Amino acid sequence: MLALLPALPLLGGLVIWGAGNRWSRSALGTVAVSLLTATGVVLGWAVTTGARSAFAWGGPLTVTLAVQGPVAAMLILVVGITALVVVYAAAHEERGGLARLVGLLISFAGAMLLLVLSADLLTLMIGFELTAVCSWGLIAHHWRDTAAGSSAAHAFNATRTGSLGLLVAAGAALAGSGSLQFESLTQLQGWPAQVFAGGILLAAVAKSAQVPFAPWLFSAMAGPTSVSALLHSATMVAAGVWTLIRLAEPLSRVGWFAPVTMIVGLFTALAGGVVAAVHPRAKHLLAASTSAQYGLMMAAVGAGYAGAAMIHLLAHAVVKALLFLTAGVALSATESDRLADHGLARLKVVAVSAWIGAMGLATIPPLGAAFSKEQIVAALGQVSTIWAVLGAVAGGLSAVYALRFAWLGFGPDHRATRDLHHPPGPVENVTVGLLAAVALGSGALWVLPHDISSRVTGLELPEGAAWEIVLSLVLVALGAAYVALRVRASTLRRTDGPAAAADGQLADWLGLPALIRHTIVDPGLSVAAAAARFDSTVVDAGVQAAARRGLRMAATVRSVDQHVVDAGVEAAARAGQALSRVWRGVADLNVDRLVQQAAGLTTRTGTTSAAVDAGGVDGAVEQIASTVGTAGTYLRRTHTGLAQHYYAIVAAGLGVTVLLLLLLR
Amino acid sequence: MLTAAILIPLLGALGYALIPRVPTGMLRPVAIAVATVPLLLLIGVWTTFDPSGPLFQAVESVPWIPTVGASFTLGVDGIALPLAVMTALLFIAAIAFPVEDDGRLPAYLAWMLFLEAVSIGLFLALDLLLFYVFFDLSLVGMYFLIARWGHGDPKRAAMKFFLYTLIGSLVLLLGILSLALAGEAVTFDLRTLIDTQPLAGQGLRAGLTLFAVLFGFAIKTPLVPVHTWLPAAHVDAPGPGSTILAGVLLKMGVFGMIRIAYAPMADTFGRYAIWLGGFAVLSIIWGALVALGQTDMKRRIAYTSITHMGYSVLGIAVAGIAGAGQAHRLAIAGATLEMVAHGLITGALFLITGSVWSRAHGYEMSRFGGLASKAPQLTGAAMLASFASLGLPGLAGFVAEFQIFTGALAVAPILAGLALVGVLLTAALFLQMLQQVFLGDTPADLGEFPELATRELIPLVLLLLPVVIIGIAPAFLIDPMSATADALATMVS
Repeated sequence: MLALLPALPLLGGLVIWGAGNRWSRSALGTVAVSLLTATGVVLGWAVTTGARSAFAWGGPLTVTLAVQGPVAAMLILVVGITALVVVYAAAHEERGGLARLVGLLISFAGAMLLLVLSADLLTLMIGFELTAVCSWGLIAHHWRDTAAGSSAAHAFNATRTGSLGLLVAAGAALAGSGSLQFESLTQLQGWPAQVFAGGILLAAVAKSAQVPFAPWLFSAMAGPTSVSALLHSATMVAAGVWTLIRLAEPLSRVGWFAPVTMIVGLFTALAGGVVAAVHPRAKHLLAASTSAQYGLMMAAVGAGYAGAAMIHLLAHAVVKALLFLTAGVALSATESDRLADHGLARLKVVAVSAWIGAMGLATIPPLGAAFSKEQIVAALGQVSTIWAVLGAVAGGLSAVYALRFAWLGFGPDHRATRDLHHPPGPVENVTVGLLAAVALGSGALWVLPHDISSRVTGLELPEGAAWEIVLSLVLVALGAAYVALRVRASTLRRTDGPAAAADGQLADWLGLPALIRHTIVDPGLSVAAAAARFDSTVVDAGVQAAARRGLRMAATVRSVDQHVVDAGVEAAARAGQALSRVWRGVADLNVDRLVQQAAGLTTRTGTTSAAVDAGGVDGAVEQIASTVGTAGTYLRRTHTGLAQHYYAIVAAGLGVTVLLLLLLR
Repeated sequence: MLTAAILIPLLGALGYALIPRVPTGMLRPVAIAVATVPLLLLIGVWTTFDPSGPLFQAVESVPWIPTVGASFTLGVDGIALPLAVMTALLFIAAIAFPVEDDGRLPAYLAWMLFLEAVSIGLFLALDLLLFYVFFDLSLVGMYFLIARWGHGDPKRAAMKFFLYTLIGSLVLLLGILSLALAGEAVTFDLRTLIDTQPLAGQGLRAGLTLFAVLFGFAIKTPLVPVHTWLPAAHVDAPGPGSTILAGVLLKMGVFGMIRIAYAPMADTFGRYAIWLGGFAVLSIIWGALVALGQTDMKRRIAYTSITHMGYSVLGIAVAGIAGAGQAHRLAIAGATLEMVAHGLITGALFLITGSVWSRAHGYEMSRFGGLASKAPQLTGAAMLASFASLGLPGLAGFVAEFQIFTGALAVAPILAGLALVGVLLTAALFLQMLQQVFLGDTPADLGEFPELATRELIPLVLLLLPVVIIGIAPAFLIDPMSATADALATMVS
């Protein structure tokens, strides 16, 4: 029954892809919403009963699903965000391939539900890879564009590196505890525990687009905006941090895990913040901010407070889905991805929603994302003051990029008048507005009892210090002030000049993609091409030389076979005939005839021996000589006498048999 | 039952060779019907197979050459049975798949049925000599399929394939003889040999015997560096021929490593298994790297076979190192499942190249592009098969590779870690192929490229449907395989 929860959207999405080509937009949207409603019903049942199910694969492999701890909250997030994004997509995205897009988005969500429900490492890995393949299809949505295919492959290959981490972790778990179940992971000790932690961390870093894997999220921008809205919020990228949250307990037993995770997370938070602060394109700005925000969550898990990471994941998901949908509206309205071309304050509903979302991303109170970021800073503060300060600085940076996005995207239009290409319709306004309402509503976190989030997620929250809140607020205010100053100085929109050029260099993920291309991808492809040449020339050449020698030998054996063995057989046959006559003679008891027979036999044997000597052995030697001489010619026509070769060599094999029998007995 | 599964296709082959006067339209359907009989018989055997029973079941034995202890003995365990069923299925698909037969369809079908008989026979044989006879006869059948119905320079490719693998089989023969002569009495009976482990503790002789057997099988598998016959044979073979070559014939090598190398020589095998594992990892990485470097679609797929067989051999080596227990069980089940999965998946991929050849007479990937718009069904099949081959969960390859790697990590972590590079490269190379051939723009000079015909689609579905089923619910395969792994471990220890 619990298997229905991921299976319904996974398979239903494929059905929509297959059947929905001729459906109207509204039909597509209706079917999609019905499917997700059905999923929601199963979800409600699963969450209220805390269901669990297992499906045996044989041996220690079991596909186990369970609703426990923070799983319920995550499931609700996935289904909720997917429903809104799919409705938006059905109304907003271009008509060509729309059924495929909507279907795959739903399957994508199904894969994520499987991942969230997983209660063992095998199921987790299945979920990881299924989300990856769905995202491959979604990123390559505009498949006629060659670049889309490459981008999709980049995303898949990068996250697959992470999946290998999961495979390694699974191997370590089996070696250490004999089981893949999450419950048994806490028993791990020694090297299996270390390898397990390393594998899971690699998986999370790759999936959640942390340094050095961060650039794959830029490649993922080749897909439609609604894909990004889902991929950055409730699926795919969320899967990495989600895994750390789910496995926080066994992971925390490994000594190096906490510092390494915090370093990777905070580094990505700061570096991603810088990239987002300067990137000229709307979607890329948001993509870099995604890496940065998940970096904060990673750091929180490292600091030992998965609960802080969990509520930030939820709050961020709403905000990020909202912002991508508004970016999609801006893209269609202006047919440009450049922030400098936007400035769509006149789209009232969308603009207000975008500003609300940006405030959340900027972690400005009273939005919920500000509260959850505060929890992360508090969590970091539990470890050390310096971590807390770095977390607060990352928050300040988020104010810079979020407000930059809002001002350029949905601030005043610097052009006097212009017509919009595709202004948003009612469906876009409603979905965006709903997400904005949820984002605003999440502000309730500030006033609700402190333990409500603990109760919802089943995870603990840290006790914050007053100075941390003050520091955070000051840094966010500084970030906002910086944007305001740049607006005042009219430099926020700059697209040329040395400063813009410097921005451009920073914006390409600080040169990380070029580094990866030059150190991994290009050398890898060159090595592959060289290996291919080496394999077909050098490796094969040795074999061919050996084969030529072998052929020569085969030819020799063949002639030996014809001349020696044949002659031998003939001789034996004649001897046999003679012998039988001898027997007949003996039977007749005709001594006289016997003598005659014996004389005849002697003569015959003599003649036969002579014949063998002259025609057989001598001929064979001659034949060997001539064959070796003409081996070159022979090589060209070998395909004709093949069966004979074969038998010749089998005969040789039999000879070896006899020899062995004699030697070994 | 098992004897009939060999005899019926053999009689069918004889029929096609001797009675050429069959109405042309009926030739292929009759051959398909004949090829289906072994599948049904083997499934029948499967229903009676008891995983908790003795190691070999459904045994049938007739004396053959009693003086040397050779007999016509057939039987199955949880490893041979799935492989034999997969073989039978693959032959149905290969026979049904259209091929450019140059008006010599009866001869083509005769060779196909002959090959089916000897291939199934090999997996069922419980006698070393019988195994060897089937092993060699498979070369003959494949030689004629490549040489007579291939394209490019088929005779040369077939010749190379034949001689190369024949050398392997001769070395194998030496090993088999040494093994048969090792005990108290000469015997080729595998059950006796597994029971008595005649070479245990015999130092050099045991080592040399193992080397001979493994060398023979390494060529057939093939392992790097004795693999170069493979791409040539594949590229010039007809599509269904490649399907059989990759799907069935390569398995003979890997299967032989379990049956003839590991089972009767477990002690010696365990001692040298790490070396075998090393060559397996070399094959995995080198195969994937060279595949990535290919510009020819069919060569690329051919080289991925080396990678996949490398996974399988790695599993067997790991089983040898582990000896018993969970890692052993995972590794054996994984290696066997990898064979089944690879047979079906690569079998399908080669049928797809057969379709590409019949439409474009070329495999150069740069000639193609955007086929998704011209032939969506072909594209769908190619994508499914490619993702299956790169180990996507939900499809058969993943189940196999997950077991091999988790098993390997427990006992040979460094080898397993190195082999992971192959997994990554395989993903990259298949995605690149999909992108170049099926996505993007269609080159203007490509010309007509019709969608799959029904008679192409059905064989593909026949192969790819089990790939999905195994990927979702593999217990029906893993259970007998694990049981056999455990039974083997108990018998040889």
